[in-house]
Formats: sequence, C-alpha cells, structure tokens
Amino acid sequence: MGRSSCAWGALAQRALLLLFAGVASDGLASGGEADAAVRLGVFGTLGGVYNDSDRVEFVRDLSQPSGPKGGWSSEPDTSLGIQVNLRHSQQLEAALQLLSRYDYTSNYDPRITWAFAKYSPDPHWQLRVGRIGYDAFILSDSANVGYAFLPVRQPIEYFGTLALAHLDGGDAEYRSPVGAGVFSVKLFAGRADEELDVGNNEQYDLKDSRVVGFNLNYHLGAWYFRLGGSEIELSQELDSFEGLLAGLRASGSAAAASVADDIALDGSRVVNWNAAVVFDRGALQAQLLYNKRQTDTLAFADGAAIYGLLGYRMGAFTPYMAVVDGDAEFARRDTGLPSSHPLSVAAERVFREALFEQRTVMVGVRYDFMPKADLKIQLERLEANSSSTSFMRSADPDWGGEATIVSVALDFIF
Amino acid sequence: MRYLLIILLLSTSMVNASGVGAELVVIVNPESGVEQLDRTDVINIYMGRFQKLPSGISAFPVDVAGDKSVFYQQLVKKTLPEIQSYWARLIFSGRASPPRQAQDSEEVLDIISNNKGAVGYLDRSLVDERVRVVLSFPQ
Repeated sequence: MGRSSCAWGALAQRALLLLFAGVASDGLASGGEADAAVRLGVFGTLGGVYNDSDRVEFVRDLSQPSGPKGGWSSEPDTSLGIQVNLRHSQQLEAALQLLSRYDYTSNYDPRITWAFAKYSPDPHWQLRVGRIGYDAFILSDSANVGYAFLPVRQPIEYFGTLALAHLDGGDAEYRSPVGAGVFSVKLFAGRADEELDVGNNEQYDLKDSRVVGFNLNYHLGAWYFRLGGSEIELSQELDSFEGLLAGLRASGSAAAASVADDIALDGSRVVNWNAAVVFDRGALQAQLLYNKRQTDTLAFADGAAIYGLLGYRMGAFTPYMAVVDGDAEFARRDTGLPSSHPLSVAAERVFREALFEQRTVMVGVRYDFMPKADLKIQLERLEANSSSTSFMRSADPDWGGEATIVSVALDFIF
Repeated sequence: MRYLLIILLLSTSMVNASGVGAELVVIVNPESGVEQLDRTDVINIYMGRFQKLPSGISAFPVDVAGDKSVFYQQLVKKTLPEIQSYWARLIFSGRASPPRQAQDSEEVLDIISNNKGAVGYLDRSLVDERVRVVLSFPQ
C-alpha cells in the first residue's frame, strides 16, 4: 500500500517539476512578466496534548493509530507543511504542498497533499487538475493549518469520519456577484489515496475510492453560507472482514448471506450532506455547522453531527468556546444463526463498532503574541456513548466513555 | 451650536496633528475604466472573494506596509493577525493568492500606474496624478 502511494507521489512530483520548469522557462522567455513569481510558504504546529484518562487513547482524526493515554503526547497536533506556488500569470499557477504529521504510517513521513495546476481564464472561473484538497466540508481543505482557525484542531466528531486530506482529480469553480454578495459553486471529482486507521492495528485503504461532490457558497457582508454534498464509493474490503464475510456467505443461512452484503465495505457508498453558517465581523466570530451521513454499509452507521463555535477577540487574546456532537443511528441485522454463534458475535461487534457517538464541550484561548504565530490553550471534556469507542483508540472494556483533554499549541506560518 | 462646531473642528485638527486621523483612500489606475468603487467591491477584492473591477478588468490588490493595519481596521474592523489567519486558509488550501506587498507609498504608486487592474491604498496627501481615487473612508 505504501509502495503504490509512493509511486504516485514520485509521478506527481515529476509531473509538477516538469510543469514548474515549463512555467519558469516560459516566464523568462516572455521577458520575466511582472506576475511570474515563486512563492514559498510554511505552516506548522508544535502541540502537546494531555489526556487524563488512562483507559483510552485520544487521536486528532481517524488517520492516527494511537495517541496520549493518561499523559502527554506531542503526536496528535504537531505538524509541518511546506508549499511552493509558481505563478506564471494571473491565469496560470501551479502548487505543490508537502505535509509531515503523525498519521497511519505511524511516523512523520511527509506526504504530498497538493500537486495541482490551476487555470483561471477570468475572475469567474477557476479550474484545477492534479492532487487537490478535499473540499467537502467548510474548512476541510485547510484542516492542518492551525494558524488559520480558532481552536487547536478541527473536532473529530464533525470532521473525523471522512478524514480525507486530498483527491487525485480536479475541480471547477464559478463565482459571481449576486445581489449584495458573492455566490460561488464548485464541483469536484477524483480518487482517494489515503488510509484510515480502524483500530486493532488495522488500516482501511481508501485508495482508488471514487469521490464526487459539490459546494454552494454565498458571502454576504459578515455572513457566509455554505451547502455541500459529497459521495465516496469505497473500492476495497477491510482485511479483517474477509473471513467474516466468507463465513456468513458459506453458513447456508440466507439471512447471514444478506448480512454479509450489508456489512461489506467494497462497493458501498458514503454520502455526506452539510450546511454551514458563519458570522464574522470585527471581534466576533461565530459558526454553526451541520452534517448528515448516509451509508449503505452497516459497518459505518448513518449519522449526523453538529458543531457550534463562538469566539470574541479582546486585544491579542481571543477566548472561544465550542460544542460538537456526533450522533449515529444504531442499525443491526439478524444473521438467522444462534446469537452465540461465532459469526453472530462477530457481526454484532461490527454493528457496535460502526457507532460514532461522542460529544465534546471545549473552552480555550488563542493568543496572537507575534505576527504570524499564535499560542493556544484548550480544555475539552468529551463524553462518548460508552459502547461507542470509534473516535478513540485502544479503549479498555471498562472505560466509562469520558475523558478530559488539555491541549497547548504553537501555530506559525511564514 | 457654534461652540459644538469649534470643539468638533478642534478635535479633528488635533487628531490630524497626532497622525491618527490620516485619511486613507483607495486608488486605481486612471485607465482602469473605474470612476469609483464601493466598500463591498473593495472587500471582495482584498478578501479574495471576487477580484474583478466593475469595468471588467481582472483586479489585483496591493497592500502597503505602513498603512496595512489601519486599512483593514477601516475596511473590515479586523486586526492584522486576523487578516493573516484568514489568508492562511486561502493560501494553504491553494484557493487564492494574497495581495501583493508594497514597502511604501512610492512602490504602490509605481505598481498601480503600471498595471491597469491594480488596486491600492494611500494617505490622501500622497496621491498624485498617476493614480485615481475611487473610495475614501469616512472619518
């Protein structure tokens, strides 16, 4: 799995280098047009997270296999990103971004998160081809740029269930003034090339999963409204499901065979609808986000999440508070076999682990202590449905579903 | 009434003397085809929402080092860290390029007089015939 993504990375790198070289020589050939420029950007976070519970591990998102448990760790939030933009003209630009963070590779190996060429024939249209950010939710394509938002991280209950960072494909955006505001619509399509950690030291490979989606945006003064939808068609089976699915299909029970079809991930679809309202004027920032997930696999339950955030700047300090609640619908099927049958027990466990239910209340403060750097301190109290440990890692069976998390983060850009 | 006027005049002249009341104006190239811009146009251009002048030309904004913080305070009531944080999101998601940075008034006048689509800002007293004033912020 690692090898194929490396191969893609090398290919993307080579294509981008060619493009960069072409754009650069083009820029020189046309007499060094005023617009031609290479821009290097860096963003990063030094973070420490303390989890008071010694019965469960805390993670930032589902790409991380482990995290702090009864102590401190720098793993969840620490990251470093580098981005090079090569601008040929107001119409043509290329970008390459590398990101190093703790994820499914269990180390900080940098990954290529963006590698695209952008063509903007006029201020209305923007077309991009290559590896682009996953723009299904508001803020989901800048989820690793801590300096760009108020809390230490984007909460897992809202953003975590579809933790894609990028797509290999393209997008097209059209924008235009409408009324007193600016309206835009974006369509995107591509294939995923990432993995999710599903616990028990197992990764689910999203590689080649087909992704399509859109978003509608309207900026009106201090208000920003957004509606989005996306669909992922999974194209791989989870290794640890293979035995269970084969067993259910071979059991001779028609009900069990149909349970196998209901659980299977390969070929199943995950659809997400989301809406956001943001108000941002002067010192006040407020946002309310909602999303609804519909799936056709019982291994990943239907669900909904709501996320509200309020912040108010006072000088260089911006205190904030937020509430986020992810709810799932428990769905199960009868295998037609005795409930003590190992296949029934295994199926029941899949249904239970499909539940993503957790709510978090947080308070924090962001301190902009110098240009292009901030310091954040955040206190969170999380409560999971005690049978639902999907957002956490390595939960002890006697974990009561609660944890208090303290985070300190230093974000910077330059 | 007369006393009130005198007090008002005195207070504004004092503010001007201390430099706090420096009047920033938004400027464009005289050949841009633009006579004036409203605040919404300027917000759209500077916040990367929609970068096109009413005359149809693609707009590109220019920031000026010394006046930047007063400009954004007047335009959107935001501090520079807030503006930088906002742009970090657009830049590192690959969606837009930030305003070009000019070091001083001479550089912004130079950029604007050489680019039809350039938009900048400056203290009114430094404006010359190379550029056109299209918006001033009420004091």
